[in-house]
Amino acid sequence: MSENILEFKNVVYRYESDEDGTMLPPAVNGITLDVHRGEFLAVLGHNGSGKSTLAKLSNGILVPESGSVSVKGMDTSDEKYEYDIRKTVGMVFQNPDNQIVATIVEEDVAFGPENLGVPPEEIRKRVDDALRAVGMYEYRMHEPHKLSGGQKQRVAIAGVIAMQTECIVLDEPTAMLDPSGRREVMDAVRRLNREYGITVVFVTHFMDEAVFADRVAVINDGRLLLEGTPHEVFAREKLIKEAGLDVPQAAALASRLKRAGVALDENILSVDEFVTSFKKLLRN
Amino acid sequence: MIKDITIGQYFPGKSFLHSLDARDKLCLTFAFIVMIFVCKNFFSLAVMLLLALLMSLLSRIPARTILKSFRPILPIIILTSALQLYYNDSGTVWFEYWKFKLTSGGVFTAIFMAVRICTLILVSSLLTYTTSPTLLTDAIERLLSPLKIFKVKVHTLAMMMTIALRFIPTLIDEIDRIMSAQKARGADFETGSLITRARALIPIFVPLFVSSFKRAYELAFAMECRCYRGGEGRTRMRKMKFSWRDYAAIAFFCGCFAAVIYLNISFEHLI
Amino acid sequence: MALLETKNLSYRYGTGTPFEVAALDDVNIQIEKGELLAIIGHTGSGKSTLVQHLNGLLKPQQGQVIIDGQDIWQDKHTVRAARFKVGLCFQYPEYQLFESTVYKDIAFGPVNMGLSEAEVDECVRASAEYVGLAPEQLSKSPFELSGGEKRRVAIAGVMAMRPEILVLDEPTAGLDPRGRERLMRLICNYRETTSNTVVIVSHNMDEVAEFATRVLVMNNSRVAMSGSVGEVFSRYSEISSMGLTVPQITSIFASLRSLGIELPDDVFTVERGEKELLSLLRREGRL
Repeated sequence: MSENILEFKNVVYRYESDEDGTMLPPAVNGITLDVHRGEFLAVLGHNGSGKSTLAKLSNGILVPESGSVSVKGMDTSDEKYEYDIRKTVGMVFQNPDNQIVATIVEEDVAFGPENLGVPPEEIRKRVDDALRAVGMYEYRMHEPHKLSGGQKQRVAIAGVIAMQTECIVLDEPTAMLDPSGRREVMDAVRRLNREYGITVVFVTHFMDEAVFADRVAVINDGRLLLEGTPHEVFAREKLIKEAGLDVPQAAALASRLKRAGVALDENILSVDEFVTSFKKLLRN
Repeated sequence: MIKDITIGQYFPGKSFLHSLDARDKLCLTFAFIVMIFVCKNFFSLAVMLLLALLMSLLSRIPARTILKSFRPILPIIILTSALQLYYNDSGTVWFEYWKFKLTSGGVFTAIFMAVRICTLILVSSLLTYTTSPTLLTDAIERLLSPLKIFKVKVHTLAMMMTIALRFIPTLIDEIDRIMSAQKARGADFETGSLITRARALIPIFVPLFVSSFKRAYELAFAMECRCYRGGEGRTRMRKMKFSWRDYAAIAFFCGCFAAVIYLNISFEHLI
Repeated sequence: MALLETKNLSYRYGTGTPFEVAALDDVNIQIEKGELLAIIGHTGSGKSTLVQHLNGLLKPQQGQVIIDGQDIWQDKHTVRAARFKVGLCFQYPEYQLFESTVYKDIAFGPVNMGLSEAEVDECVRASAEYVGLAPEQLSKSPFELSGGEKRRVAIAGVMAMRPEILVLDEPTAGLDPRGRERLMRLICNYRETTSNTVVIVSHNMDEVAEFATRVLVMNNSRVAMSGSVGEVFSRYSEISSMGLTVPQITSIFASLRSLGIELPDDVFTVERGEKELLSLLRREGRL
């Protein structure tokens, strides 16, 4: 079995224009990227960079024009794998309202397993487990439209977990949420990755969310601009800024001070890292 | 405004009525409605009314809430009664003025009709008050599933109902939001002629349609991602099972229906 | 005298039902001419209810909203006048676009005001410029535009009513860093050019720190704090306890100060942080 759960090879994808049906310039233009089993990969990019298209290519909703995408060795363009691919790679979208199907939380979480034909007792167990995993068990009998944005997204995540997918792709799940909702979703996703070993592909334009990832891929104009650990990536402040993104304030402050000749540690990302390094500097 | 309507709303609870199987409730409600039309005199109607009142008690829904559900149909009740009073001239004449004649037959039929409509509304409201929309849809799907042999797409219909139920509150919120936004730009929905007012709705409905199509598109994507392929090969988490309560309810209803038929035969028909 | 003030404003949702909740509780605020006021607070703190009172979309259950010394609920005409004096732009305003062209959509507000064709034209062109829309975009359908452009068209639609106070509910929600920065710059330019008042409701503290001239913090339906950015963010721990975050720079400075390092408590931008830390290091002779 391969180490990679997802493999993008030279993927090109173009949308058709709504008006005249001509092809638009490529949204994804020759991206090669592997997603390793069990990792937390953040995909960063500004709006229109192609990052959402990349997400949709990962489970065969979209099929590449050239190049290939494979999920555990299954080519997404091969229709016979369609079902197995979706069982392996689950997807959570940006708008929490538009992905909840049922009128009661637990019914919605059950939707996926029901489609898979899982026996009722087993569904019950999976639904309860999934709701507990995202901290929404107490809300299982609630109506989705009465929940907050963060809670709705957690229900959507539970819906994917209940299908027991090995990999979950989240396409800007926090873009429409307030800070507390973002934190809720982020915490839930990190826990799934750490405790349940689920591979996470987290698409976002919030750099403070990418900080938690094992690896960050920065997409710009449909191409892979940078790839590496958060420390490596955010050290390239100039390149990141050019891609229409930002680096965390702590990282920006550290790199400015270093440019002014202050001997701070390399690769500072968080408030704590900055404070520790600065303290050390003053003591020396 | 739109949010005040209570008909069709569900009030979660743990009463006897709540605990009945949705299929059972659906069938019994249907039978009840048929039986109401079988009633021919006050005696049989009284049995049905008492049964309906007993059900209201068992539902533990506050009387105020139940009374509120009558408000929208009050005009219909009044109109029906008024028509009976006016047109029915059987029985003894109690009062006469110009073309208008108040007769015993008229009064009795008017009361009979009013009680019949009220009982009808009461029972059907109780069904939705005590059964979640999901369960109700589920029950409809299961009850209608024999129709599959006639190529009726029962599952598709049920799924459409579920999605409609799921999105009605969302769309109501959205209408509210769009209306506020357009009002903030000086749109006026309250004054002017009928045509001006109809025109004033364009700034609400265009954005509503645009966003609904977007929602539909995204939802379809999301459902596909969750391996939805229609009803085939699908299982359900919830198992519907009849308990002793359901059998008891059926038995009790049958008893009442027998009483209705007996009373219908034994006493003179009013209508 | 303040341009707009609220006096003892209170509002409850669902009165008479078991779901009754307070949304505003004795809120007294003043909005001064020309300022850029940021209203912050977590979801449900009452800030959205507050802004809907400012232009008379919601009627106060208790208290008053006063613009130019006049209660806006005095009569039918004053309420309608308030709609135009206070231009309110909701969250995700791109969902309110409906016309066949960008021009017509921006003109919707001015036309409702009953302005003449020439005045409408002037309003539309001026506000299109404020939000950085090119004149040739005015004849396009709003549905052809990108997400960010739609947002700017919708905001222009409110600016076109020439409100004395422009209220924007989370104008940058959902935009990426570049889009956020660009939109905030445009809003600031608008404020400078017209010298009109701007009120923004925001969750993004970095944005507030950079652009606001005054901050109002809402918590539990009440005004919890009001003051300059420095005054508010220096009450760092209180803000955190309200479920709000402060800029990372502010946290860094708070941590350093708690270690006994002498630093000012009103630092919240990277530029200022750099300056302060460099001067600290020079003082200590480390640079």
